[in-house]
Amino acid sequence: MAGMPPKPLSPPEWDSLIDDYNLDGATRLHRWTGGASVPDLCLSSILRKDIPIQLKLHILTFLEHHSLEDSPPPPPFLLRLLDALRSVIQSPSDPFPLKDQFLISTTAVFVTSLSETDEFGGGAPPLCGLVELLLTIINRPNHSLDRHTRGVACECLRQLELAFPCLLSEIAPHLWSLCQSERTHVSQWYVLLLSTAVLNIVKLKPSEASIASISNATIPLVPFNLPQFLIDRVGADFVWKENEICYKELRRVVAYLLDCPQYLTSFGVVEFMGAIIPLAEELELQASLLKVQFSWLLFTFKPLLCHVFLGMYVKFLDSFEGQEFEVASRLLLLCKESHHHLVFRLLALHWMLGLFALTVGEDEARKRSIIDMSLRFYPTIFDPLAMKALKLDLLAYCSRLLSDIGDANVVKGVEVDEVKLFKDGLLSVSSFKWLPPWNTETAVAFRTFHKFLIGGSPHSDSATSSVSALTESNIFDALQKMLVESTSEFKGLVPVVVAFIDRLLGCHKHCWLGEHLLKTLDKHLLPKLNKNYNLGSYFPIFERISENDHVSPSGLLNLLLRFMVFLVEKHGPDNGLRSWHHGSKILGICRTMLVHHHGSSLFTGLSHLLVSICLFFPDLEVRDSARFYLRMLIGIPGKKVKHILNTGEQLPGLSPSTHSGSFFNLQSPSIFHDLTKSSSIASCIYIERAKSLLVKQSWSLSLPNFGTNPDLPGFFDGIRDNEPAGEEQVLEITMSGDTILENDLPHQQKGPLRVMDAKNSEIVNELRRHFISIPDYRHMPGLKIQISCNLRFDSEPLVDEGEKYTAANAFDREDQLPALYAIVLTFTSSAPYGAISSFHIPFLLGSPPKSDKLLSQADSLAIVSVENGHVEEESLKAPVCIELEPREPMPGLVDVFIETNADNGQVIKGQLHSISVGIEDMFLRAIVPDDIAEDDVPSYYVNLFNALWEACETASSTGRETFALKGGRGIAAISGTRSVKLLEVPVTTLVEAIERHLAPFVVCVIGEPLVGMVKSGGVIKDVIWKDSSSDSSLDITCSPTSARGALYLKYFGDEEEDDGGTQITAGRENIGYCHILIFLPPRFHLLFQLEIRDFSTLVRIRTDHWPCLAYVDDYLEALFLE
Amino acid sequence: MLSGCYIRALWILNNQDFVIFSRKFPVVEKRWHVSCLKESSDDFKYHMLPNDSGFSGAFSDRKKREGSARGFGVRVSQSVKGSDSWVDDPITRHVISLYVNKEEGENNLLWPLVLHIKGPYSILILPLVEPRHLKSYSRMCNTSDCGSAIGADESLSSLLLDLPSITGAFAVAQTIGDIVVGEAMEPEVVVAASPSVGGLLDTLTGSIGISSISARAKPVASPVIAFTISGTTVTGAAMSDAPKMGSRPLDKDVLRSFIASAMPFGTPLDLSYSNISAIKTTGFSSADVPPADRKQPAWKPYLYRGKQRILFTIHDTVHAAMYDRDEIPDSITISGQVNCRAELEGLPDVSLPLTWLASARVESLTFHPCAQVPEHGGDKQAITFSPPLGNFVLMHYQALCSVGPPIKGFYQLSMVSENEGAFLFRLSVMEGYKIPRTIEFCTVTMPFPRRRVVSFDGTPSIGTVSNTEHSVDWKIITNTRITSGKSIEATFSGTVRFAPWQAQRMPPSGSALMGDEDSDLESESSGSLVNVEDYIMEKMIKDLPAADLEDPFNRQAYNYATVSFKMIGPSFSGISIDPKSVSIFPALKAPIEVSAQVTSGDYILWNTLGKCPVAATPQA
Repeated sequence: MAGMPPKPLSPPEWDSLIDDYNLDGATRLHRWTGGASVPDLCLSSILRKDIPIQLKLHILTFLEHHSLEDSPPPPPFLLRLLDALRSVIQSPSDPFPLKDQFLISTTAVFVTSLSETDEFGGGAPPLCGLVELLLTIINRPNHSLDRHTRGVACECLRQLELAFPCLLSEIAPHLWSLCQSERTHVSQWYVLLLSTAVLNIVKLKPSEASIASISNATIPLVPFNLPQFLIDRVGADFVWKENEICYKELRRVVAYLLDCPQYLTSFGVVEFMGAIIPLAEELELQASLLKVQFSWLLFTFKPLLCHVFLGMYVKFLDSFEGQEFEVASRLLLLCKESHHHLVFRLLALHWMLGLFALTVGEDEARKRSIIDMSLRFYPTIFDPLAMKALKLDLLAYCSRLLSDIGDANVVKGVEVDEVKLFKDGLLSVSSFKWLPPWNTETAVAFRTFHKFLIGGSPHSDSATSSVSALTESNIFDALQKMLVESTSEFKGLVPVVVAFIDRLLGCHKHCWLGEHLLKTLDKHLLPKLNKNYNLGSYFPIFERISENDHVSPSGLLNLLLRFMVFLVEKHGPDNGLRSWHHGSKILGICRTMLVHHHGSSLFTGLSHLLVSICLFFPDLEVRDSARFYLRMLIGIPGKKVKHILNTGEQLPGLSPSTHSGSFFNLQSPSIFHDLTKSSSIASCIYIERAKSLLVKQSWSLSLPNFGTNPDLPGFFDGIRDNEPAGEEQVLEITMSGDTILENDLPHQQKGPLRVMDAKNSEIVNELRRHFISIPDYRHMPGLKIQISCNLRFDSEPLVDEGEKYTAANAFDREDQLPALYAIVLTFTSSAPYGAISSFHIPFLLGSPPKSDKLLSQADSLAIVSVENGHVEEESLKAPVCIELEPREPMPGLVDVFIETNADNGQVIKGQLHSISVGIEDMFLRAIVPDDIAEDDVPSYYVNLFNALWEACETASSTGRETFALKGGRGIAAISGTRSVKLLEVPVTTLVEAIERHLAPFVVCVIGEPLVGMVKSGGVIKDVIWKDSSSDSSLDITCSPTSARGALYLKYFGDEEEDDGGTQITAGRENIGYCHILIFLPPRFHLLFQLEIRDFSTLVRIRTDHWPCLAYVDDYLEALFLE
Repeated sequence: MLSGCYIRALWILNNQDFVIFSRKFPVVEKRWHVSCLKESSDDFKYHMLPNDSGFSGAFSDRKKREGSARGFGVRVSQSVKGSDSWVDDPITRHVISLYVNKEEGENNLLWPLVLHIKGPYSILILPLVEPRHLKSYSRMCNTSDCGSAIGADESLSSLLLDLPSITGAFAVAQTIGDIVVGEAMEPEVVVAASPSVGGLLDTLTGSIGISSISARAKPVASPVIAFTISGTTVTGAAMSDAPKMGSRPLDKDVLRSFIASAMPFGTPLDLSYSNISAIKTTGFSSADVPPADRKQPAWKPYLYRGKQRILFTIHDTVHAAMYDRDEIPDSITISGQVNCRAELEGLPDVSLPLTWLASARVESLTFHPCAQVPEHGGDKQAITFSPPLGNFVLMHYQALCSVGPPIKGFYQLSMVSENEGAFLFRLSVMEGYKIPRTIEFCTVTMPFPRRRVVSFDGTPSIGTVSNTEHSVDWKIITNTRITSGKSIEATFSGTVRFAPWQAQRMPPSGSALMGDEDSDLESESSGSLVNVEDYIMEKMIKDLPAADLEDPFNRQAYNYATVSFKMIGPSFSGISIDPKSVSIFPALKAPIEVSAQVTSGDYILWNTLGKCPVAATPQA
């Protein structure tokens, strides 16, 4: 209520205000109203004379709109509104349109503002006033001038009655008499008002007292009071039926009403039927009566009237039994009538489907009658595509009914089966085969495929039994054939087919259908495809096939392989880009397979394909990527590969990664945080020797001159360049006078000539031959020793507490284990091991925590065999091979550094525990020159042994001899050292130890008992065997050193050893000898002559690298005495 | 149970998606509010109707999502869950849903919005449904499965059957559409002398004439003279319905006053524009006395006074697809209507025997609601109707052609090179037609919508030829002539030359549907030129725009010739009215005139040498 009359708005202001309101709602009204009440503002303007009528109408509509706002106008406003209305109605000068609109708007405002729940919130008096006014208007039947206004007033009353049911119940008798007397065209509005009022009476059953009889009005029309019913809100027992007279009266009213529809407009009929049908139900009228009265509705060309008929038909299905065919035919004709707007024709088809759904049920006869109509469902040439689609739906529906019924069907002399329906129907959109894939025909055709396909297995059907029935059905068969044929013929269909399959795959109920289709395509389409560039268009299908684990990849791989061959053959300068394009596509499929397939079926084929691409494909990038994939396929277990290759999509059957994030994510603050400190890395990432050292070497002999720098040759760096040596030689040669200058032929590997006896020269020759095969590490890759290690890491610190393995399944666990990728191990050492190359491991899985492992073992016992478990364990270690190129044969430590990626892409760097290198790691077999035949190797070794043995005699005649190394630039001299060691071990233990640790180095076994023993062991092979008979001769000829050595020992050896040795030799029978030749890189040797007795063995040691003796002692003790 | 048709609101948008007119009906909205409150739950509650800016935003959002104003209609790969095309039904191009204020997190789904596009305007009407209907639809467009099976799953069909308000809303939308583009008009009734007679307002003014009371305003709106055949039939070139749309601004006052009268509270009660505007403009005088004995129908607010007569016009429209191939039968159908204008005083009944039903091959027959439909069956059918004022369609029919096709023959077009086609027509007009007819015109058109015609060669055996940019028109009969019962043979051979083919830009909707085909890499010459035709074909269809779901086929994909003609004379369908047998009750003397005319609808001669769309014809 405005205290002050609001400032009136001018017409343009009103226009802007209303436009603003329509556009953005009430929020922007303030700037126009200045806070005044909007309804009041409207009211004052409407009553002004200077405002044009059109604007007044507009303002009235605005008032209506505004009444929708949250705060309804208060009852005082309604009173004011009513007063204003009254003044306009009674004014002779106001035109009828304004009066009409004012009536309408006022009624609308009343309806929206008043709520019957709280007794109209004090709005009852204005409401009564309004009704009274309206009743006054309508109470002049057949009056000419204002007849239209009377119609409007009737409608206003009807709306009030609809909003407040039974509002007019008490004056219904008046309404009836008015209705009967009105003869102008507005009688429709009287009829509708009456029917609505009567319906409410019948429905809500207000008390008998107020409406004693409908034909005799007991209450005057005006003044109007709210009926008691509306105030009490209590419905009485309805007494019409008991009260025969009232009931009859009511039937008379209805009978009167039933004659009216001919005078009503179409929409009038709609409203009328909305009232009359519930009325007929309530009064239990004969449905046949309705049928007679309203059948004509079906035969008008107004779709709305048809629909109204259908509404009635559906209500009284039983009464209209037998008319189904007629109704369906009519609807079918409606959809054919091209003068109708398309939407009505579509609606007709929908109504038909809706009716079928309502009526058919399980009734066999009805199904059959629908099938009998099926020929009429065929789309015609000029049907719009939308109609074709719906008619095809009908055919799909028929095909479902057919399969329900089962037996063959004959319709009008033509046999009808599902396949025929399908094919005939599809003819109307058959251009989908050659039109571009985005065409509407294509969309309609595939929609139809879908409908036909799932017709037998709707989503609402929970039974799964239909699966096999569907796959065996003819329609499915025909559809698959059609798809395969069309797709092989028209590559443009590929994206559509793919979308179709995707659609099925995405459905929980029908994904099996999609898979089935993929299998079909795999089986039937792939062989049909030509291996040419056209194949490129089919890759989307291949993609789907490769994504699906249930479709065997072999066919596709085979095809791709042949396509690859085609690409390789066709490759030329002009189509490099093409080759690359298709090659990348092939790799894309490979990648998808890697991501999606489980099982080994993939492995062979895919690796074959990848290898072929690596080898033959013309494009470098493709080859590279193929190699990359191949390595992944071979190196990384399945699930991890999937995670690596997965670029974000959720994989089916693969739980989201526990250590979230793929490689492509940014680094996140990580659980590896603490691992960046190197000390802690070593506590969870371990590198260990595969074979532990016999001697736990805790020290290493380091002499000041043992330079680790190869550029500064140390004291023991026995190799010298032979250039300076050459000068010496020249000098020597000059001095000796009978040498030939040969240093201008540096490649000729001959040492300086020297006067020596035959035996010595034989030895020297032997040694020359040996040394020339030793590479000179300064100029070429030196000899390498390999130390096998294993790398493993504990997963525990890498997994969050909350994500501890909970799954019982071992397979899942492997998936959950963290992994390291692209591990690079680099090595350094203070020992003279040269440059040590780094080692790369593509992938390593963490080992499960100990406690969990136990648990897992227990868990998995039931499923996984012990071997499996073992294998799994093994797979958690990566073999590492450290290659050293020693400059000196000495033990030492190798420091290990790691650099790797964690699952989340975080880089881990740090130092691991060092690896100790023992003297035994240095043991190599002597190099056999190329010209030695395989059979001669044992004797070569024996000869070499003998020669070296001789040369390592301290006072050897070869002592001043130098020997050229491989490459000819370096020369070496031998300065020998001797030692002995007595081992008190039984012979069997000794032989076992030799067999275990030194077998490769044995060159000669002498003595029958020993030979027998060793031969039976079978470990030592390809050596020279000498029996005891030749022992003596051997002692003299071939192995004089031993005898002399023993002798020598006696004379010059140190006392202790001598004693031990003699004691043993004296005490026990000599079983035999064993000669062992060990090459120590880069160019040294260690020789053992084992003089074996039953319970002790004397080891004579010679070497040209005396520092090694320091370790040999320990080694031998460890070897034999432990 | 809501059985009626109630409208919550309506909007009219222009082609820039701006709301240029909106109307809300508070009384209906109140009902919706009340029923929403009853069914209110966590995921369902009442939302206020959007204001105009919100609505146009939602509409253009949908347009973006669905590719076009109407949408995809069927589920395609671009369809997203929750959208109309997800429901996979072509009718979702007409009954659409909108999400209003989606960004505010409230999922305010407006459905069913009836969409009617007329000229540059989109008319959207929101009828009242029950909350359960809305929920049901919401489920349907949000289902995660692959789409419903016919007749088994929750379906749109059942909903549509349950909702006459949608049907009603369409009728309203159509009427409003006609009003906004100024096409609200009455059917044509032809008299022998003049081509057509005026409508209701003519009747009114003519009958009342100058003698009318001076106080009454003369009708402002002049009677509509121009006409089109209602429905979608394509009429001849001479009568081509040149688009009148867009030229005139929307007359909001006309619309407002129509709505105020037709559906004051959102409940449509009378959609007759001519009646409403007559009442608005002329009103009633004391001279308009109600009939004494019977009620005046609501659809006849005025009674005729003046010279009495009845006019009937039978109007056949022939649709034909002519293949001239052995394996494909030609398809010829006739749709038609009988228009009537009964200038009779009082409220008489007119009775009309349908004696021709026995001989004519009529498939369906539907009537004006004013007609009393005979009980079906039997040859002695007759209809009785109480005619409304003005011109009206008494009945519609579908029939098969009772004689042979009026134009027979073949059309061949063969591309001799990429830009040149040789064509040949051999036609015979009115072969086997005994009764003489007047042919006003008969024209054959070769449309080439995707190529620019540069020139053509050749002279027809009869008639004249001209070309436009995208067609060659052969006027076989230019001046009205009367056939003598002998057929007219016409041949025309020649060549047509086109401007070099230029690949057209794909319309956005087409490209949206297109897969990611790497066309330049796949460009396939596939070996040697198999055949010029195939080559051109391949080239042409590469950027062929998709047809609308409202089209029967992709017209641009085929070569064909259309025939258009108009003939005066007996109908082809066999429908006829004998003036002598028409009776009027109560008996009065009034001359009865009957005329008949035949025009062509879709009358297509498919290129015999090319591809053509077909449909199976059941061997019934």
